[in-house]
Amino acid sequence: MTQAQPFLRLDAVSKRYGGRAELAVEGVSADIREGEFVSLLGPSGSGKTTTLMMIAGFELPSEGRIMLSGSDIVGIPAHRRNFGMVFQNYALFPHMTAFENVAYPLRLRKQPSSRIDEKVKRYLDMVGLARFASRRPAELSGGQQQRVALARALVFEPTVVLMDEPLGALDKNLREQMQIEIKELQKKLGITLIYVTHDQSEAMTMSDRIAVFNNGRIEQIAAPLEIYRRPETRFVGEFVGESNMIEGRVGDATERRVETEIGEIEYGPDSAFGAGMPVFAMIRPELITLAEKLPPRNGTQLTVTRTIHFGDRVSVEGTTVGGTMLRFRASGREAAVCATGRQVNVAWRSDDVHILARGQ
Amino acid sequence: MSAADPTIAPASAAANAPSGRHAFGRGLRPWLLLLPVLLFVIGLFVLPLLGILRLSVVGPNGLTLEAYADFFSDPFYLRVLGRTLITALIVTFFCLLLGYPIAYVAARYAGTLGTALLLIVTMSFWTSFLARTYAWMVILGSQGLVANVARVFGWEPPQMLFTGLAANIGMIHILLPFMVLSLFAVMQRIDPNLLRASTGLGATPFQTFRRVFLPLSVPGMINGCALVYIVCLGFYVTPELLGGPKDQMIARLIGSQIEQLLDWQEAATMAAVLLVVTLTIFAVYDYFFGLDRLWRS
Ligand SMILES: Nc1ncnc2c1ncn2[C@@H]1O[C@H](COP(=O)(O)OP(=O)(O)OP(=O)(O)O)[C@@H](O)[C@H]1O
Ligand SMILES: [Mg+2]
Repeated sequence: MTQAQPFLRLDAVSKRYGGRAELAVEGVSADIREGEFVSLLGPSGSGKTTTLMMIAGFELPSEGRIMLSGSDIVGIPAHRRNFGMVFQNYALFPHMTAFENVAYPLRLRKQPSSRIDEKVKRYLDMVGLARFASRRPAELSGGQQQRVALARALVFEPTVVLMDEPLGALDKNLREQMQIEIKELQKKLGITLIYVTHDQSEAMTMSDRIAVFNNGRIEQIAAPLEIYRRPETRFVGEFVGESNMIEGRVGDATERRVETEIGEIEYGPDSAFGAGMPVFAMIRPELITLAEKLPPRNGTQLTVTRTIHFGDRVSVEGTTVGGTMLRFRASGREAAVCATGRQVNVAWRSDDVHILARGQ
Repeated sequence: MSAADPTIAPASAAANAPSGRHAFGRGLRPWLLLLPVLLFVIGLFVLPLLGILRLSVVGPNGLTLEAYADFFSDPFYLRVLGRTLITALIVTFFCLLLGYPIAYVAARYAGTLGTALLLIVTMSFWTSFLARTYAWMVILGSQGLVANVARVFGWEPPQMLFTGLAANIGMIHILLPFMVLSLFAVMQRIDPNLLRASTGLGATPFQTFRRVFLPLSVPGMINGCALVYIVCLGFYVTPELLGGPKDQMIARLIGSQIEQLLDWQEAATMAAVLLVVTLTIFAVYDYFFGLDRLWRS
């Protein structure tokens, strides 16, 4: 907000596909800084790809403006936007070698061939594919193809790089490796990157900020930890990570207490809600711990209904007398205490309770 | 010749493979499945072809290459052969020229327009090509549509029917659907994301077409050209009805050898020459353009 002029700005952008009643994207606004890594995270069909396609220039917004350094780019065709794009299925040209694929944007820009040669080699080297320059896409593995696509999207030093689930087709190990590589390249080259994914851990580890999409809208756009600790809507809280959402009403606003079915819950200092407002008290499972005695506040007794072992830790589900379900984590050593059917006491710290608005 | 003897094969197979009948059965099974197809192909294609080749070299006094000598020493025959090859080339060229945009639109605009185009093109498959040939006679005749429209504008058109032009127009019209469908089959499989990727990397629509779409459609062009060229080489009725006596093609020549001269040997020779010439053209093409390299993607 301190910056006078954002680099890339989406201003109330909406998209309705021809002949459809509902909006695919509805009033999306976001300011993206130069050199920032922003993820668009959301479930399938939430409008991530559509938003990206409008930024790239492949789809026209039905309403709203897209501004780059202060000027509207909606009227500029995709091929003159100078944005780099990486697709999920790589979209490498099958009739060209890896070298020619990477050289393609440079040839279009009529750069001298000695310079093309030098740059393509440098970028192929950067993604660790110098040895594979003369191979065709069909002769490369999925991960190698994705690296070629990456080099091709970066080699012409685009203003903004757009990626649509670029790692979706790779196996878990390779995906994690590529996440690190992309993040490092982005930092090293200072690239402004907009990254579509429906994998929340991918968004958490790579992004400077995450825009959480739901039903064509951005529910919240903030830094990963902010999204995790202080989600603004129930959807965000439940989509990103696991959470316990306890229904209640603000009781005493100055004492910061919520009245719920499991008793009064105190919450942290950073929420402003008036007395009587319907809210959720959100507590992450890893912030609930087993307690010897039942505390007077910020705790409850549970009957364990289910435990799932992950080796080093256990995920436990239990219900209160009133029927509220809570999920929490226990260490491997505590597993025996949490056997199904046992009664346990759990507690949490008031600072770890986050309050968010609840519709009536 | 002795493969037909059923007692020999199993015995030797058992001797080679210690696991006996099982291994033999497994090795044989794919061949059993292929057998009907194999019989069909051999019976209806390979044997007749061999028969023709035999016919061309067996004279009244045993083996002879006399018919071939006759063919290659007769300038008229050679002229007809040359004309056939060139006509087929022209027809193929124009089919490609006209068919490419049709297939392009059909493949790229898969909605109503593309479907309608494809339907119209394939519909001409359902009308007899004889009927279509006669239609051209009506259109191109001296009192036909084209001539009368020209006269409205005060221009007396030259003779069109019974010329090479009419024959070529008729053949192009009949063969165009083959070209369009061959092209369409390949174009339709070109990933639209590739075209988007190209645009995103800075290519104008024309550059995207030139550098991505066109090269990727080459296999379709080769398929279509090969198909049209080969079918055109054997065209008989259409050039006969629409063209003049000077526009005779080799199929007509083969026909008259049989019908009028009853010279089966010379007819077989011509057929064999046509076959060899065609195969040679494709061998040369393959050598220079490497068909298999183009298909790999
Ligand atoms: N070309 C199109 N024509 C009509 N509707 C479309 C088109 N593309 C997407 N939609 C619709 O727009 C909505 C948003 O789709 P979009 O592809 O943007 O979702 P997404 O968030 O990228 O989902 P995913 O994670 O599955 O890729 C969906 O309801 C989808 O059905
Ligand atoms: Mg998508």
